[in-house]
Amino acid sequence: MREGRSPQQIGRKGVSNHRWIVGGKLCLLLNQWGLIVGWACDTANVADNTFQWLIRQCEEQMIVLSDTGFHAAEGDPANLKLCQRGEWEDRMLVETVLSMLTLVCHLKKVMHRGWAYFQARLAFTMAAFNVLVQWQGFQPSTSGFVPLSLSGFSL
Amino acid sequence: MPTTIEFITALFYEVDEQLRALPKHPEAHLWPSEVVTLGLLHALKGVGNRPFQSLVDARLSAGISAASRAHPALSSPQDPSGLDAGVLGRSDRAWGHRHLGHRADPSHA
Repeated sequence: MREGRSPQQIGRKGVSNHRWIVGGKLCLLLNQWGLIVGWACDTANVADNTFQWLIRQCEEQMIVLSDTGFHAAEGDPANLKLCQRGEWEDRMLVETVLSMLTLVCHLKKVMHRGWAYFQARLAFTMAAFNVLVQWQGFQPSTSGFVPLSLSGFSL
Repeated sequence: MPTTIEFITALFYEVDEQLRALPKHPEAHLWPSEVVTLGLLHALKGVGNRPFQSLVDARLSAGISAASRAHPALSSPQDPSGLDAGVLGRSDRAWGHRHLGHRADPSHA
């Protein structure tokens, strides 16, 4: 329904959360505290394993946990650890970050008409997230968990 | 919690600390750190261009001197028709506001 309304449409049709969407796909690389250390975007029709180059970039620096969508038949990066659903609790950190970006930055409603503007919007959003979650400094709990919050900066 | 204007000022300070060495383009009205601050605020607000401009007008215009506002950051391109600006309107005004004003003007009735 949302595809083909404009000849200049930059979004493409893909599947997200078991339903069809028309738009773009954002791949986030988070460190252990939830800060964004890398990101890439593409149209929604590409497979998740298209972003394996992002994982390969930090092959000597850290392992990367991902869901099984990042597996490629041609081979996976050495530092990629594929996780079955419910296997690792780190998924909660990813979902927390996505929830903050959705609720505060309205990241699922992006209406730019040019790909460069879309990329710039994502870049600014990633930068704003990293700056603002560290605004008060990192305050880890006794277990080493760092609570992240963006709600105080909602304009 | 700081007010919005205090937060924007603090954010600009943080950005400017990183980007103050970048030179300004000779034809630009804003410094790179000002552009980046606006980009971050735009991303944080998460709205389109026009609603964001309303926010900037509402929150920042009070802190900017009249002389600075005389040269808007995004000035309109030169109008080749040479018509009066009042006929074409200004780019930094809300469309609805201009249309409502036009309808309310008894001289156009």
